[in-house]
Amino acid sequence: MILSKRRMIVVSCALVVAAGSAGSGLYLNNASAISDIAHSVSAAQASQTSTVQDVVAEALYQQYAMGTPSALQRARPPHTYVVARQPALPAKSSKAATEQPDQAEVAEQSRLGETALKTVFAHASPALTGRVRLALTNTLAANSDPNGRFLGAGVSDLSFQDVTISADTAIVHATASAWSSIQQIGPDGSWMSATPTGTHLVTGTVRKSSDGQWAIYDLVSTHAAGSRP
Amino acid sequence: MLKRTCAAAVAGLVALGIMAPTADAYDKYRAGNYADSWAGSRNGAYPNFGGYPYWASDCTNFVSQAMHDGGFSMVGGGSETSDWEWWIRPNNWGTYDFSHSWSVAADLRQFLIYDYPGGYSQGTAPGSSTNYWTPDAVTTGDLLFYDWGRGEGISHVGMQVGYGTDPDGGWGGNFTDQHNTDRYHAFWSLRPHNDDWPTTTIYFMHIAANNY
Repeated sequence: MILSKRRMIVVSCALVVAAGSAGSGLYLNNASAISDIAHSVSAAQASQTSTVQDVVAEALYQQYAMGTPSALQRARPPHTYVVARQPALPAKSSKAATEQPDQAEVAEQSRLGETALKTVFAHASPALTGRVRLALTNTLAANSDPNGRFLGAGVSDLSFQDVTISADTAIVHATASAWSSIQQIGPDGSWMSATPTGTHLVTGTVRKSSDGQWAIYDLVSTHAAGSRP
Repeated sequence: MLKRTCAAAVAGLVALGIMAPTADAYDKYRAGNYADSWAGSRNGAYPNFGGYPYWASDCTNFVSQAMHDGGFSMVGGGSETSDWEWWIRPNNWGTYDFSHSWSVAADLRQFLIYDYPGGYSQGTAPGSSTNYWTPDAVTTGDLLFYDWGRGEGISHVGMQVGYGTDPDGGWGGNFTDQHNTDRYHAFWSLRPHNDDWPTTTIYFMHIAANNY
């Protein structure tokens, strides 16, 4: 009796979840149907989780790479840059190899950044939009800094800890390694290279927008212990 | 506003001969020397927040020690949370009691703004800065507060201690000492060390010389 009660509870739960998920009522005839429902619910959840993770990954990448040569490189075919790869640094004094980007390149980087703001961050909180806007402004300005050069930036080693989906909101915890590749001209005229890298503990909030699509709402991160600038 | 009013009132009393000008007491070079001495290690006379899991952040404790060694006297001692106070002391349990302003960067900045003479904000700079120099008003013994721009607000502080070459990468200009990731003579904007430089904002704070 206890077992059958448990089974009834499981079936009820599956029905509630399935009905909520599919948006319609279902009739159960046998154990196979229960199994099918469980599988479809599980598949739907996995699909949502995957979608939510993709949203966070794209927002993270854009946050770090927008306005940089890496974003420009990614936008050009073939689209192989799901996660940007860190370029090899040029030799310390090879100025000719990495001159400042020309106006057309900066304009294209700006256009790509503005497009990302209107798409990837279209439903973001004002706070996140403000931070992304600040990053884009400073990154584009760095392109014309006579004392420095900006070679690229991105996110690597993205690892998801957990995804909690509740109705129209998902909370995502992840760790990510962010990097950028820069140079400063020294007093002697030679270029000094640096590749700051940090591991971040990321909390992403993803919400379903009015059109039913998952979209990034907020991204907050702190440096992992031992990884601070 | 209150701070400006106090400053104007004191200046008026000094001008009228009612109050003698105080001798400079905050020795910025002494503070800078302390920071240089302990940039890469920990002074056993103070707690170490660098490895303890809860705090895991020694930056503010470090610059507070340097300020105090430079002659900035502790203020208050009754409230741990009030940013009008700045203090640390051993307690009966073999550890330390301390104010948030002693140990948390945003609280220390608030304390310096509230306190008189305290400190004076000297504007901001983006983390993308490659200029060799900080603003003229910011000198050895002054503080640079950092907001990485990832949603947590001001969370780091270092002390300017001079100028020269960052030993880690060779970038030249004014440099700072700091704890957390312990750095000796780090380029002031931390750009060569900071992957968050596009969103970072640096807040300059000049500590008045007539603190005592």
